[in-house]
Amino acid sequence: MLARILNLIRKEFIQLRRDRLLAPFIILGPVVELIAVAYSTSHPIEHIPTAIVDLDRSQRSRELVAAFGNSQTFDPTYYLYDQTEVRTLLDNGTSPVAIVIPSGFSQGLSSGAENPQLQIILDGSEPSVAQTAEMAAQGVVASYSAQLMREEWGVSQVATIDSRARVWFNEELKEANYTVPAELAFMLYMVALMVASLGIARERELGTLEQLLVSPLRPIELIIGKAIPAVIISYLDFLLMLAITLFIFHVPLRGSLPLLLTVSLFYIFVELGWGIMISTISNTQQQALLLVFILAMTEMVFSGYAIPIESMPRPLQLLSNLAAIKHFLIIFRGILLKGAGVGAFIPEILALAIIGVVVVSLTLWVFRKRLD
Amino acid sequence: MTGEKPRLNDYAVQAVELTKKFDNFTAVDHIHFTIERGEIFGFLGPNGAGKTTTIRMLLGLLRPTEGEATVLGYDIVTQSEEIKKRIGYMSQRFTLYQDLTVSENLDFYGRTYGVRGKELAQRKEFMIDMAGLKGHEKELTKNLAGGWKQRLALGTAILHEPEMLFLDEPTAGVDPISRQAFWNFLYRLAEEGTTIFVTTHYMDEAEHCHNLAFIHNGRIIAQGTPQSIKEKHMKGEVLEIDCQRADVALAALRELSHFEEVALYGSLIHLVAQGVEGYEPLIEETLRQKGAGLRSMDLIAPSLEDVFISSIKEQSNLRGDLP
Ligand SMILES: Nc1ncnc2c1ncn2[C@@H]1O[C@H](COP(=O)(O)OP(=O)(O)OP(=O)(O)O)[C@@H](O)[C@H]1O
Ligand SMILES: [Mg+2]
Repeated sequence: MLARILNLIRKEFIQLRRDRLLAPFIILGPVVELIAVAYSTSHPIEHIPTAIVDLDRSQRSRELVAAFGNSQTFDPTYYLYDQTEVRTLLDNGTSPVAIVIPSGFSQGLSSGAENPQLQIILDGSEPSVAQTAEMAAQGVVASYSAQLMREEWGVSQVATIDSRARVWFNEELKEANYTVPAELAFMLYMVALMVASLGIARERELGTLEQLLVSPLRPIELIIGKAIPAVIISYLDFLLMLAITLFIFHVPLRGSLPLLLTVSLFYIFVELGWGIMISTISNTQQQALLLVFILAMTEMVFSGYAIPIESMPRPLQLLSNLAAIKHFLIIFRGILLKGAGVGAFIPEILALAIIGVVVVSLTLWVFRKRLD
Repeated sequence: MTGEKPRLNDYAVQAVELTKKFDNFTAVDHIHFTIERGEIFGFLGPNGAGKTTTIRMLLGLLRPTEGEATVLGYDIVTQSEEIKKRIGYMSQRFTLYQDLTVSENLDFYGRTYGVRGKELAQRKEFMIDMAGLKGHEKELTKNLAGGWKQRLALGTAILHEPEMLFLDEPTAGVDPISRQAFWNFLYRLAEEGTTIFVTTHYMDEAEHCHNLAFIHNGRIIAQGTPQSIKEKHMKGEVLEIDCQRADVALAALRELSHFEEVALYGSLIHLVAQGVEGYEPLIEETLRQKGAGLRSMDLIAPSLEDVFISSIKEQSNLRGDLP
């Protein structure tokens, strides 16, 4: 079994080496694309799930929270009692904004002794969300202050609220920190899909698949033998792109490198599953390519990269969980920018594992089914 | 490897009611046949008759809709792993890798069947000699001429010394001399004990087979040795007529409706009837009247092609179709 798989892998590499188009395309293409990384355009960002830490618990503070809720931008979703929980929510990307109303907030407002402090914590690893949130928050606070002034006019001196936005993780709100990892994940994804999907489809198109299927090579051996070269190539591409990300774009690596390397390999396996699946259902290479692009576009949409998932309708938001790239991006950015450990990503890793298992079982099933 | 599974019988192939339907279309229709070990079995039929579909079922590439079959004593559905180890297959399409060299193709397929090391080197050398490819080992397969590709494909199919060989139209588009050489090689293989299942369009090749089956519209319409098929299915003798205007003659002779069969073979007409010699004066007279320009008329031994056409007709009559 092992000998047959190795034999197939050797053959794949000989063919790849002879292919004048594919080899440069899959090695250089992603690197060029990554270097010429397109800057993300801004999109209206609305209904950001917002964490509220109301330590004051006064009428004023509730009014302020309501004012946030009435804006298009914020959806107060999580009410926390303790500022330490903010970290968890931001770490796993559940909520990119937290608003902390300190105790003594309303006291400060009415006494006017000192300007009450409002703290807005933003997840800077998604700069477009962070920027929008910051500006919208200033707006909400300003209009609330104005409202207060009108109400309390003449009663006493009214203090202005001093809201401070604190950006975590990506303090400089550097665009590259956001776009480069996304672009990398996307390119990695394209390479894995492409290499894997062309593999079996090409053999089918040429008729050689039939020759393999009447040989002692078993379907699972064929799939493994096709997947391993794709893994190797995709992983090399990943390492190359990671180096560019870290050393050319200076995206920080705050978390653990071994963890990053492991999770990425895992992600590649899942995407390969899709590739092999496409390969199995396509009759020709052209069909396979078409399906790769359709799937890639879909995953791109659901990756949260081009369009923030927060701004999607609820059913689509749920559907986005099927996109492996979405989970990988959360993990990838988390490790790079937040220095988060494996504990922060349990749901994402689980999601990846489930997607992987489902795709691979489905592929084997389709492969057998196609014999009829 | 798991242990050997027991063989169910001693036939090379035994097919019972084997059927394949694609949606509503029946490509192979309840066929029965057996192949003895060591024989060359010819599977004949026109385009779309169901030859390739039958082979694909026997090799486990398609699941039969109905019926069952064994290859080398193993069930084609439940024991196809055992079958795959023991057979060689040369498909109708050229299925070597065009972007591998001659030597790499042989290596790859050899190793897939577990042939390796010294043994692989030896057999490779033999195949390269056989295919006349000495000195071309490092050439890319796509650059080889047609006849060489054909022989390389055969060499690849037999590199692992299979018990049985399936050849799907192996000589299509090959010149007559190469075809002869190819058949001589098949004889040698058969003498050494390899069972050969071969499909072909060429009726002259069918004469070389030990046993034949004619398949038409998915049904086997005649089978046996070439000789027994001729005896059984030929209704009468064959008269070969050569004339200047074959089209005119064909129409005129068909109009007479005395004959079992009037068919065109290139520029010649073959006419089949019981006691066909008795009709010679009538034929001469008719052709003169129509101005067909009769050149010669000879009684000939029926070829398999005559028999084939005759059996197709017999079959359609049986089923009440129009001839
Ligand atoms: N996968 C399929 N789906 C639908 N119809 C099919 C399929 N494979 C074959 N057929 C049909 O079944 C019939 C028999 O095809 P088959 O390839 O077995 O013929 P053949 O005898 O090998 O012909 P040829 O001499 O042209 O190779 C044809 O009409 C073909 O169109
Ligand atoms: Mg065929």
